[in-house]
Amino acid sequence: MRDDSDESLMFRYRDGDVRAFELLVTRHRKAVYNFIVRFVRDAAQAEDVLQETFLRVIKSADAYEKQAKFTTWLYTIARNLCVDAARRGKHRRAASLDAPVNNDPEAPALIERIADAGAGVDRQAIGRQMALRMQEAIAQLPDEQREIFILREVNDLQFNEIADIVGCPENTVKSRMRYALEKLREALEEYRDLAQAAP
Amino acid sequence: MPELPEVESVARSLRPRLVGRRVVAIEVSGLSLRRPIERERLERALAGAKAEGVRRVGKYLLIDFSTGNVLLVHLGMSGRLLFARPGEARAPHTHAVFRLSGGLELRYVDPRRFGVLRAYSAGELERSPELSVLGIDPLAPDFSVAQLIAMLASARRDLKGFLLDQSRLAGLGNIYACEALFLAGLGPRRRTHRVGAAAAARLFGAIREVLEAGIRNRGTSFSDYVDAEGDQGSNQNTLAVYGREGEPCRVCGRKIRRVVQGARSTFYCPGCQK
Ligand SMILES: [Zn+2]
Repeated sequence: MRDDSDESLMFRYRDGDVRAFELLVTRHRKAVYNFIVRFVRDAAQAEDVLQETFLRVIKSADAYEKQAKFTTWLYTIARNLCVDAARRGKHRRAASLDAPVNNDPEAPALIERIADAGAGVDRQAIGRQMALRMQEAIAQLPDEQREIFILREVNDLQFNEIADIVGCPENTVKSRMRYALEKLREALEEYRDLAQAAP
Repeated sequence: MPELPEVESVARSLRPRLVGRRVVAIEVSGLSLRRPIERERLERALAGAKAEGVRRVGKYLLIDFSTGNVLLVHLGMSGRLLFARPGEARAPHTHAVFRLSGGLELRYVDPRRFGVLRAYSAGELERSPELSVLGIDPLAPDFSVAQLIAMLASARRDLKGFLLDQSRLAGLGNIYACEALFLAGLGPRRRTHRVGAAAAARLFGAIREVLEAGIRNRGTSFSDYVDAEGDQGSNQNTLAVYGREGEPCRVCGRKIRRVVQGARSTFYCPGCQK
C-alpha cells in the first residue's frame, strides 16, 4: 500500500480503509502545513486550518472522484480554508500557546528551496540572516503572489495544478510567479549589498 | 472538576423533572461566576418559557426552552445543579435559583465560582464565545477514527495536552484523559503527529470506553460532584491510574507514576504505556 498512488489510497479510504487515510495524511501533512502556515502566518491557526483541511477530506470522501489529482483537490480545500481564515481575521486562540513558526523543528529547510528559486545565489553564502531576510520578504509579498510562490517552490506543484487550485488561468499564475521572484531577488540583492558594505 | 460523563449524568438526572416545567422566576446572588450572571438577560430569555429538553455538548449543558432560547451551563470546577423544594434551606454558595412551575426549584450552587450560566437565542448559540471554539464531542455519532487521525496529525504537541484541548476534543478533562491513555497503552508525552493508525484506533476506542464507563457509573465523585438529585457517582472506584500514584498497576504490577504536565498531574503506568 505504501507504493500506491494518492488517488488509489483515497479510493481505499472511501471504501473504509482507515490505514489508507493515515498514509495520505502522513504523506502530505508537512507540505500542506508549510503551505498553510505561510498563508495564514500563525502557527496555531495553521494547525487549525490543517485539521479542518483533513476533516473536509473525510467529509467529502464519498464525493471524491478521480477527475482531479488528489493533491490538486487537497490544496484547493486548504487554500479555500486559508482564504476564509484570512477573511475572519485575528485568530481566536492565543498564538502564545503554541511555538512560533521560527522555532518549529519541522519547518522545512526553506532557505534551500529559495536558493533554488532562481536568485542564483551561492548556497554556501546563505546564512541564517539571509534566511530570515528571505522569510520576511516572502511574508511581504501580496497574497496572490505569495500563495503561488509557496505552492510552486515549497510544495513543488505544477503551474497547471496551481491554476486549478487558485482558480485562475495558467498564464496569470506564471506572471504572478515572475513578479514574486523579482521582488524576492530584489530583497536578496539589497541584503547582499548591505552584507558587503558591512565591515 | 466535572468532565463529560459527569455533565452527561447531570443532564440525564435533570430531564425527568425539568422537562415540561415553566420558569416562573429567577433569583441570583449577585456574585459573579467566570462571567457575571446577567439576570435581566436570563429573565428576558426564560421567564414563562417551558423547558423542552436537556442536551450536552462537550462539558456544556444546554437546556432548550419553548421560546427557542437556550440556557447554557458550565459547571466550572465545582458547580452543581440541584432540585429543591421552595421552602428548603439554600446551600451556601447558591448563585442562581430558577423557580419552576409545580412547586420545584432548580438551584445553581458553585463554591469556587468558575462556572458559566448564560441564556442565548437558538440563533446565537452556535456563535457564542463558549460553543464556537469547541471541538468535536467524542461521543458524537459521527466522530470517527479517521477524524482522530486527522486531528492528531494536525496538532504538534504531547498526547495528554491534546486530549485536554477543548478546541479539538470537547469533554475530556484530567481524569478521563489519563484513563484513556492508559487503556490505549500510550505514553502521555508521546507526540501527537507520530501516532500511527493502529494506535489512533486504540486511542479512539479507549476514549469512548472510559467516557461510556464513566456515564454507566454516573460519574466520578472525589469531593464535590453530585447529579441534580444530589447523588454521587461511583466511577472513582474503577479508575486504573488517576489518583493512584505509587500503587501497583492492576495489569503489570509496576508502580503508577505521577508527573506534572501543563501544570496538571498526569498519572500513568510506565510498564503499560509507551
Ligand atoms: Zn501497567
